[in-house]
Amino acid sequence: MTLTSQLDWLPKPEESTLSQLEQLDPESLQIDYELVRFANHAWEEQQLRRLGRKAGLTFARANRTSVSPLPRVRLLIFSHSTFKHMVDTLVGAGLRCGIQIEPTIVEFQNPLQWLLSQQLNVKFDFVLFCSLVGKSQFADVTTGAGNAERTVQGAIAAKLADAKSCSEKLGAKIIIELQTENFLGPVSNSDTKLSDSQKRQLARFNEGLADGASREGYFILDTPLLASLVGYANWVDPRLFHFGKIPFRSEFAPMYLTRLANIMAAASGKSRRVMVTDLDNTLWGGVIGDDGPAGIVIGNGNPAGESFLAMQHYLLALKARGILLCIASKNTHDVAIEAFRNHPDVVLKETDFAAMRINWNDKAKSIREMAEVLNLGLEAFVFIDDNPAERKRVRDDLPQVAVPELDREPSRWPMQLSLAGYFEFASLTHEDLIRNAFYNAESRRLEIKKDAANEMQFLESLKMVMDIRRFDDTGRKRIVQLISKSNQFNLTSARYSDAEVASIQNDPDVISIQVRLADMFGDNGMISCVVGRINGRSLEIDLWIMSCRVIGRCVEQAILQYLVKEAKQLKLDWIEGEYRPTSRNALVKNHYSVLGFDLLSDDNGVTRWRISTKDFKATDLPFHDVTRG
Amino acid sequence: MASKPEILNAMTIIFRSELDSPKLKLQPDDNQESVTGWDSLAHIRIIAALERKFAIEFELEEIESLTSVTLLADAVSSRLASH
Repeated sequence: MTLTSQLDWLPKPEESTLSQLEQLDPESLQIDYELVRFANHAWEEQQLRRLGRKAGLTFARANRTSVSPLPRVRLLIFSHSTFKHMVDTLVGAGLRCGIQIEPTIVEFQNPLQWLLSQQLNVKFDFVLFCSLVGKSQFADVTTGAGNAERTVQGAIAAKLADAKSCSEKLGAKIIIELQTENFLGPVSNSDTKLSDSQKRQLARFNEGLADGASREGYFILDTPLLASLVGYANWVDPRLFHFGKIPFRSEFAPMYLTRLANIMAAASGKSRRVMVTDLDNTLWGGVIGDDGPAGIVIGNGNPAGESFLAMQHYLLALKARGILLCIASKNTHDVAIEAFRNHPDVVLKETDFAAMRINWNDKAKSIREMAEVLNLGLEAFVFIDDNPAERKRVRDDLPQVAVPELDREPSRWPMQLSLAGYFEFASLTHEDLIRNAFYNAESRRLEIKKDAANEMQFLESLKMVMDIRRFDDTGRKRIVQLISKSNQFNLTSARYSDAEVASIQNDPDVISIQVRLADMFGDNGMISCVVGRINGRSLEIDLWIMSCRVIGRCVEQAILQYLVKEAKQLKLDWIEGEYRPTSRNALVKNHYSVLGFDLLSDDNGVTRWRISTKDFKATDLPFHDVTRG
Repeated sequence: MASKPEILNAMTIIFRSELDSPKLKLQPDDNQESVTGWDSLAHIRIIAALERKFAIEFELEEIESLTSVTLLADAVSSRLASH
């Protein structure tokens, strides 16, 4: 596993997405958030270039006549190495960030002379000054006291003067690229000790540019940072530099250009400011509703616990930079919130979050609500969740929200998020830093409006395949495990030993089923078990458990349809069920009521329910297939 | 290992994508003059795409001299043979 040119925080394009790319027609292409979502795949450089090329043709046609929801960004680029080979890819990278980039590239020319020679009738929004590449303007060893410093100061002043002229003449915002190390000269460990080594001069040069940028309100494109993140030896391809002054290996172009586009998107009012996080297996290991606050994996002394702790510290560091933290989690609020209140190793606290939705609702809905509460556009949101189905759900419903793919390995997440570079600041100000406090107060005052998303369509797109079969030897071990682990979605808290499960399996008066669920993201394995006993004309449900991971997938409804069918075959008129409350299973209090059962009795919260098998009407459910073993 | 026709096929796919001409048919005697759009920038992209496709690396001198379809195909083939 290498973190190099692959943008592994973006979903891999599927076969159908690839052929969609081939079929995109610039004549009929819509410049909208559908296209933004399409651009946010882990396209290879050639593919992003093709997408950008087609979109660029559409921009040229559409600009005068139609209004696009994506802001137009006209960018003038001055470069002393080749840039033209990236022009289409740049357009594609812009789409990823929700902006429509129209680049003008000026290579190997003095910026001011070029400006004077042009009769410009185009307005530019941004001017990018690319850095020198390969060679350096600084001598390798000192040529005399004071000379090196003079050269450095002179180079800083010249660059800032160019920037100032462009800013004044064009009224454009300025982006200055910092300069990476010179890969043509010798380097050694001692270079840093010599005050006039090229390395030190370069560091002072970059610092001077950064100081100037901060004084003047310019933006910085920190290419040395990117080169070091991906590894400098990988970054350069000296062959292509000598062949065509290609500044860096072209497979890094998507990453480089996406970072550039991020700056312009942030400066055009589309900066990401909110990080929404899931809880179970994202902020800690395990499922708090099932494992209890003491059972979650978090904290020092355990490798997995440390990596989740590192993730929590990463979020705290984002918060310190003014990023708002929010929670969208499917959990029982009172159970999950315990972790923040009482768990000694959970470093995030309730007050670190500007808004939270800990409930069993659709997460796209939760995020929409929080956007309203915080009074921010959905473009400001990033959402992280370990569950690919939740990620897809939010991605499908809210294309404005950035939803990174997360590595299977949580210890890689901080690096992955840094490479993705979501949080670009137009300018990091004192206001940014105190914004959190403001939002915390604000969000508590505001009321929430409700909005239903089209969940059925989403469920159908998951291509779920459910497998229902009777208890058997193969499944027994997992059945026993699931029964002992399920605390939240557990109607009766009945517990069965291995031997009891074995005897149930052969009892003719018992209907026992195990349910597996697979979807386009893979096999969820066994996710539910139900045990019912035949008593007279009724089937009495003694056990109904389900993994919380698949809540909201209509699994319960499908199981009920199966039970009704079985019961009818056995000439049973009723299915009866019971809910026995525990400290953890409030989630399923209304389980039978939602499924259409009638209340028979309520004895101190223990409720009994019944449904008639004759009157039961099966509805269409969003499963691709249901197999019966 | 890829045969000559397989290499030519892969090259056609790469040329079509890099030169944005979906119907391009490459002939062995085609060269930078005869193929529209095959300029030095496109050449770099084509070289990079071939290197990635076949997991090979050309030498700098080769990059400059591989200016026809036959030369490119032969170079790919000899690289694959020396693996």
